[in-house]
Amino acid sequence: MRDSTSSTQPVENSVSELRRGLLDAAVSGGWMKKLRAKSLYIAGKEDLFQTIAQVFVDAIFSTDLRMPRDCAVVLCELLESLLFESEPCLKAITSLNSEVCKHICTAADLGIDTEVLLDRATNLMTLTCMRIKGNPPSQDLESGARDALNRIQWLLQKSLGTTDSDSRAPQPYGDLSELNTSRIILEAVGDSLLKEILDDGLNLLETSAAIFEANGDCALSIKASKWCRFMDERSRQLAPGDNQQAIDSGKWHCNQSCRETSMSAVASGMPVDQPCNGGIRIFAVPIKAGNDIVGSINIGYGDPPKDKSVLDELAAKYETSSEELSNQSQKYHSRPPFIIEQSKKRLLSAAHLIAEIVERRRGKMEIQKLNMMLKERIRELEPAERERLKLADIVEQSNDAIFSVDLESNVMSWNSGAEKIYGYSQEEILGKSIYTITLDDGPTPETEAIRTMVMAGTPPKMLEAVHKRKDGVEIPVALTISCIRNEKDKITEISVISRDITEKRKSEEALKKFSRDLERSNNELKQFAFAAAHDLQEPLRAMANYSDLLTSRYAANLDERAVKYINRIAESSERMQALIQDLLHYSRVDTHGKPFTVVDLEEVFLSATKNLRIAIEESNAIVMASKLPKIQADRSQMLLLFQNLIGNAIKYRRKETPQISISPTVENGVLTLDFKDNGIGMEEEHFERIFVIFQRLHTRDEYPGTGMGLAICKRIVDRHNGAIWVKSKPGKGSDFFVQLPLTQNATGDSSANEHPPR
Amino acid sequence: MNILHVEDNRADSDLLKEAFECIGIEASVQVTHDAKKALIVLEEGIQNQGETTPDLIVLDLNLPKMDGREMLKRLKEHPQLRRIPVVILSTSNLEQDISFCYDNYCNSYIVKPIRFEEYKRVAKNILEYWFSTVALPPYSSHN
Repeated sequence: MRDSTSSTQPVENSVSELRRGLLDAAVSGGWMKKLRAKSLYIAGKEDLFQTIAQVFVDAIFSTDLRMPRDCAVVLCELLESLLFESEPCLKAITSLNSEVCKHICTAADLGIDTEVLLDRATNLMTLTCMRIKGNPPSQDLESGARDALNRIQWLLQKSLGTTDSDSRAPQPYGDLSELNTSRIILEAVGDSLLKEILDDGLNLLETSAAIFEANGDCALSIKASKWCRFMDERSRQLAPGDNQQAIDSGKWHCNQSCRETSMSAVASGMPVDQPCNGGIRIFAVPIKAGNDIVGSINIGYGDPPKDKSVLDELAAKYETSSEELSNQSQKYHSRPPFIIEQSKKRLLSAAHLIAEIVERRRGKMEIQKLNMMLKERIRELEPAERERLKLADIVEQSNDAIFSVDLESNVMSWNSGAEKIYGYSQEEILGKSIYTITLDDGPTPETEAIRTMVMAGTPPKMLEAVHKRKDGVEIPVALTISCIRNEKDKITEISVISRDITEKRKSEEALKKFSRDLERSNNELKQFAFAAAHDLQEPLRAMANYSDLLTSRYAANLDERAVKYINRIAESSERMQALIQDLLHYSRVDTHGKPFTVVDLEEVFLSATKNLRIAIEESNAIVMASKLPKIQADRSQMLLLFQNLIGNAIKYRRKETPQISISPTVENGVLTLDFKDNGIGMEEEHFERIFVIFQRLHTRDEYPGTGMGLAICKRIVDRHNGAIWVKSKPGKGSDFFVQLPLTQNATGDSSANEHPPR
Repeated sequence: MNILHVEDNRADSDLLKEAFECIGIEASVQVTHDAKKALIVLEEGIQNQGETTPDLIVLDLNLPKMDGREMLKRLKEHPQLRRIPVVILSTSNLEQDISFCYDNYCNSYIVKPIRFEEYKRVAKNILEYWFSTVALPPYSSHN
């Protein structure tokens, strides 16, 4: 401090030292003397005085310190004493007046007890004034000090929340928020909070306050009091029609200024400060919610004009008198700059507040929208989820083993069916190699081949394998393999459904064995038939022939009885041979049938009558047939059928000439043949029996035969998917009906293919 | 009238002989039970200017070793032996047997009769037809 006369740096050091000293004093309260000494030390150094005074003022009103009242009082005294000791610095301290006021107001705003401080400040001002008067007083200084005092007076009288009632009363032209089509701010923040925010602005300045949506609509009515209210209502009166028309007319000067200023702020995204139509200024700030400018809030500030020429101009514009305007202007209490500054700061805060609310509401609405979408999605997903759970349940409950393996062949899932079939529990097998259940402990060429197919996306549809249970028992299984793909369509797992086919294998093997047995017995039967056809007939024929030979060669040596016995042997052999022949015919219907071809029954009929020529000639029978159709059939069997039926009709004739007619009818693709005769006929009770093998209605002496003819006929008709039946009365002839399909379907007969003719 | 009867069953071969005897016509019936042997003998006969070659072969179908069907085929495929008429005399009345034999150029097919009267008739018919009615070719190897 010794060398602190001229350079700036030491002064600043001194000031900061002084400030620290003051603060220390304020805190401790017991440093008064030391403090005074220090301040005196720097007193007299005029160039430092203003700075020192500033420091003192800062210290007195320091909001940071919340200094005890006594401390503040002492500091004020100190300031007073300084004032007297440094006369030349009066001018400087006067200019500090507004600073003092500003600090008092801030302190008041913060709720600090300012009463004493105000007293002191007033005294300070008064003393200053006195000093000024004592010395040759400067007019400017005096009026400046008085002005400052007035302001302080006004501030002292004013209390918060008691703004003139006129700003709270609704404007006579109605509520402009009715014209708000955007309503983003209005609905987000709400009518009452917006009003409070505007009132807050008005409380300090008593001018106007307005909030605009981004589209230029008033979020709610412009608030105005005092001068502004007068001018607003006056200009509204100038504008014609309803409020919208008034706005559009361009004559609602105050409304227009408010809007224009706010719209500039919206357009630029920056605060705008410009003069208004009403003679004061408007400060407007944009309301930025996120990245969007959703509107603007503004406030009018400044003193109404007092200059006569300006008032005249305004009077003309607003179509009122200069006197009236002057009157209104004088009613307005001028605001100190710091209040205006403070108001502007508050406006910025208000804009942030509104923006924050809009943003949050938007966020909330976004969340609500997302919530709705989420709920919707959940509703959509619920059935799918239920379905998934159902499927999962099915998988779990399945008797088949259902499991999956990852690409490293480790088991990833294992249902209870798998536990049952393989004997491994989930805990035992999950994460283990799938080769745990295969016969080999690792991949084999077969498993690798399957794996390659699976990875190519074409798993084998069905394959059978042998797996190993936990207890070491090998079980045959049928596997269904498929790929599990992720959302990128990449194969991530392989799913396997494994079915224990032990039982199936057993029944398959039983079936195979049965089938082999059947085939063997069938072959044996064929062998038998072959033997019957040839080997069995040979000796019978020999017996009959040699019996005949015996009787013819040795007739002279044989008596009548011997001849009769030998004949019996021959006849029996002959009959036995006929039986074998018929049995063969009967069995060959199925086993030696030929494939169905188109057969002309007309031709079959002619062949049959030709073969029966001897019988027909002997009996003088008349055999006739209407035109017969062609059908799909086995020709040789048709021939046998015709021969048997015509032969029977001749055989079982009465005394009179046998008359046999065959008449066909075709209906729905089915041919019905009526073999009608005038023979002996039969009782109804025999209608069924006659088609059964070896059934005879007559003794051999009456009508020779084996009793096989009609059984063979039935078998032939059966093979052709037809039917045979009889209608008859004893002595009145018979009608044998044969029904045959005109065409045979491909699967109708299989015996032909299995036993092609030799 | 040289007939070669290829028949493994003595009872059957005797019956035909008996039948020929009964109708009182002289016929030289050579009986063989072995079709394979018979073929060798026939081939040798052809080499010997056909002196021992039969005028007619009566052939049974179901024979041991070589089947009658096989023998028929061999005969009819043989450049010289195929001239010899072959009469099939078989128990079988199966259509496929009959068709097979005709397809392989047998000259007639007779189902063995069950009664001796019929046998005699067959024997008579054979002799009358093949030795009185038709003209047979010579059996020399050089024509």
